[in-house]
Amino acid sequence: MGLRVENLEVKIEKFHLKVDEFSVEEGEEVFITGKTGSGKTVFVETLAGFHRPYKGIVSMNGRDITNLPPEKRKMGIVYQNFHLFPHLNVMENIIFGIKKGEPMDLIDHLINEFEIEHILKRDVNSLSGGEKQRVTIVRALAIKPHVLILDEPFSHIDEKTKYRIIDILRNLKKKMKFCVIHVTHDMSIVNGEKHFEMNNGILRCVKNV
Amino acid sequence: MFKFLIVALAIILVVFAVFPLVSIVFKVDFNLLLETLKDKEFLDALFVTILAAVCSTLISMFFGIPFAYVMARYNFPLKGLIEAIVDIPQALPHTIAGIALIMVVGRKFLVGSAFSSIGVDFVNTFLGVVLAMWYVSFSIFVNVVKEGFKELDVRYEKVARSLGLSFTRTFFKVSLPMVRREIVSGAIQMWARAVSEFGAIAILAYYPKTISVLAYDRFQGFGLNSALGVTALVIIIFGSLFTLLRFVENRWKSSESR
Repeated sequence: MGLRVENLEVKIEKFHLKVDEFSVEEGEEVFITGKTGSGKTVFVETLAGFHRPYKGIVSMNGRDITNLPPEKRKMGIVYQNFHLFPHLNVMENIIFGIKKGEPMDLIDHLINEFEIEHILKRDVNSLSGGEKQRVTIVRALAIKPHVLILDEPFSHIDEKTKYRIIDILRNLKKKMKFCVIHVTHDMSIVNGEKHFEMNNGILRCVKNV
Repeated sequence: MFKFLIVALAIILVVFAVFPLVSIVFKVDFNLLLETLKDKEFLDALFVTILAAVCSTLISMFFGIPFAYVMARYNFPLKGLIEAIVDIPQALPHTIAGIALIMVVGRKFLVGSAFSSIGVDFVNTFLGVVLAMWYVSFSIFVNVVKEGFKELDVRYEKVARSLGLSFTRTFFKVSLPMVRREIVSGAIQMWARAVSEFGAIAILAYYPKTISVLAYDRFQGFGLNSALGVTALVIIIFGSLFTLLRFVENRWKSSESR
């Protein structure tokens, strides 16, 4: 069970991405490192459904999702620059992907876990970097994703907040049974079961415990 | 010294822009203004102008927002050419634009005769005024909104999609609200341009008279003094209206960015 990629090839203008094999299991965390412009973001965005591969298969829990639109993949994505919707307050951002009438238990739990109860009514522009990133992660987890994609999420936040968020996520991924794909430059946080490196559009596994 | 020069040049520009307007308003007799305000032809023209400009702005919003989005988000062959074509009406003398429109919607021409057969005419009708205003000013709206979409980081839309929203819901819940300032700003600029249009309207739809046609009509038929009342009132009414719209827009923008 989990996410699998086989013989994936994507072409975006002159850039060519080639991934022979990639997999991440339920509750597992994998790291993808590589130089700027090597294709890390293109790869995770392809997994999330934003680029259509011309070859290969992406499957989730045994089901082929290669041609599934992004909104049906249940993959939460968190970027470096937060991307909180500025026309909505914190709570409106958090429940953005929640359908009316859905139970709020998980959201209440996440709000508690990430300690953001006191900022729920705030304008997102008034938050600090650490607060913004916690809200962004809660928003992504509120949809109960199968996969949480973190694309350089800790570049704008302090060390203490970074490790606090990492700890919370490592506990939650096992409880909520989602996997984490973590794109980063920061080698100090790379200690997951699997580590991949992207180089000029080619992904290779450098650690698989 | 250079700072002083820059400020001086800015002041000269403002003086040159304001001087003709102020000189007309102060020269005109107050009784003439009151008389013009009671003039039915003036009030009709004012109504036609404001309403037609609102209609042409709404039409631009309906077609222009999707067009601006496509131009900002997608790359495709001949995109640059299409963008240039859309800007052409801006670059044309507006009498030429009016003649070009007549060649399309005139009763003797293909589109015009088709519309005419179902009772819709553009020559010398209110619809013609709307069409002329729209044709010469829609690219102002489109360009402002296009820049708004270009500046909007596409990752906001990707995040919304990843949270379960379809393309359509993402467009209405994220893209559109996030460029609302540009939409409002573009609509105000376009409306102001539409109100001031003369050339294309005079060629395609001289009647019902708009304010610009009425001022021209009075000037040609009865001389400068006769046109003064209309001209002064137009400066006062539209100047105040446009200033008010800009003021409200700026207040709204600054309150939102706080």
